[in-house]
Amino acid sequence: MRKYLAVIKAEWQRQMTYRVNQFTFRIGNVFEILVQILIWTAIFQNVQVIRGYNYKEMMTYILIGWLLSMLMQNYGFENIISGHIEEGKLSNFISKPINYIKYLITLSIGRCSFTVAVAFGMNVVLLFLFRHYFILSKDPLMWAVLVAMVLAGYFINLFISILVGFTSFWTVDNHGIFYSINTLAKFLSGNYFPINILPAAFLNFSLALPFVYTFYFPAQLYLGKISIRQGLVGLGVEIAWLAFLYLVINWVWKLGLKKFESVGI
Amino acid sequence: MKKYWHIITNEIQRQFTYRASIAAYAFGNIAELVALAVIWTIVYKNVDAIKGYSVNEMISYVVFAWFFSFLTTTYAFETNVAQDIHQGTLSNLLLKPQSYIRYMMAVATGRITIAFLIVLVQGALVFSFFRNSLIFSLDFPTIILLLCMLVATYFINLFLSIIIGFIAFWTMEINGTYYSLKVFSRFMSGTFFPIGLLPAFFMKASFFLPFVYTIYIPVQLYLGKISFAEGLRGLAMEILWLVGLYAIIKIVWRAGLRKYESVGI
Repeated sequence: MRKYLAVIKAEWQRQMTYRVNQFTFRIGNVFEILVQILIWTAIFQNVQVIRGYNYKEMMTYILIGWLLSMLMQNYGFENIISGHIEEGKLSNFISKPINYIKYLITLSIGRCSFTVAVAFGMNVVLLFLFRHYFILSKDPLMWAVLVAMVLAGYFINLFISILVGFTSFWTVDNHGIFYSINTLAKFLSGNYFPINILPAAFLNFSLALPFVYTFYFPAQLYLGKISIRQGLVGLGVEIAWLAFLYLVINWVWKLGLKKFESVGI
Repeated sequence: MKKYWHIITNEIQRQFTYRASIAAYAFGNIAELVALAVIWTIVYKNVDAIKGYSVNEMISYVVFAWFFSFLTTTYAFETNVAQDIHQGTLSNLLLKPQSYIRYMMAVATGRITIAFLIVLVQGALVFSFFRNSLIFSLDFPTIILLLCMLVATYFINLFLSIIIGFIAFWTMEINGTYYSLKVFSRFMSGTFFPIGLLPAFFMKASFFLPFVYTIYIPVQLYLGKISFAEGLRGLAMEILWLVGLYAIIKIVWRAGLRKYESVGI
């Protein structure tokens, strides 16, 4: 365990090297949120309610959804993995007495913790600025479920990124694939708009996929649009996905290692 | 001139190596468009017009803004520029009897060729999908003016990419700056939605920046929301910005070369 702790600490220090870059990323994030706020504000000047969302609920959906999704993101972790594979750095890790997959999980935690702290801070400021348009929920039970959900959501995103990164065993230069998977995941997660404004069939379909649990579902729970019980069911689905994804990761890892060419030896 | 032609054809050949990756981008490109189309379709169920836009005008706006923006994107060319600087490849290019800036323009043009053709095909598919809600306008002089504007848009994007890439002379990481500027420019250029929907302040501010002339004005011209003469003025503004940006590139280039450490020597 201690060796993995060292990985986290080392990654923390590395992140501190590029503080300015970190900060500039957050400016872009704030813009993205503002764009969505501005679009919906313009829209709600003409209508009162859209598919059961009033203006305040929509603002809250965007603000809380972004805040939570910041906590669950891993900021392009698949690129790190594909870098390891394509540049042959993986050989280095395989010969060490560590499990590569566990190493990746700790690396990601170390890598995110700094960014998450900054992103979280900035979003709380944003929430404060928009406090008059924000519905504050004080139900402790809901918060407990929400925290569990954020935790599970983080690992869902991480596991998906690891799987996506592993495609580098088979192809090189897969930025196109990464980009497409990420935007589709963003779409399906409800980042652009609440999924339930679409026909019910689409919502039911996306509830069976893992993406919705990284934006739409927690935001709905927060808004009280789904009950705690439904939230717990959702959490169950998340955990089932986690177990499944972990199995797939181990399976793909074994297949991938057989293909690994250990570039650079 | 001939030597730059070779650079372009070389780069096209290089791009063919990763054709699957380039094609993979196409799936992701569509996600944001679908999201916007969904949002507007649902919003217009409750109202007939928003700030003078009928539902067909809004869908046309979104579709054509999407199409124009992908025709004129440089696909993160700043990373190429930054890499030349960080990895010291620049030294190599400096020694050759060519201008680095012109060389970069040739590389960028060769680099986007395949993606450009894919976007054309994709655009045709999208148009046929939305054919019932799109406004097709085929006024010959307007189309010519529009093409000129889009060429200018491409070069504005390219010049901005080069300037952002040059930041690499001073810092190791430019991703954050690139990302933030991208979100900002997409917002100010009206890629997501007509900037006229926002309070007048944004519109006024946008006229002091190059972005509004790159997407919003061309789409407005296409939709017939502004006159031909106003379109011409937009083109003139684009050309003015091109001159200004080129001058900035030259200045930054000179300043940057003094800082350049020629890594790898």
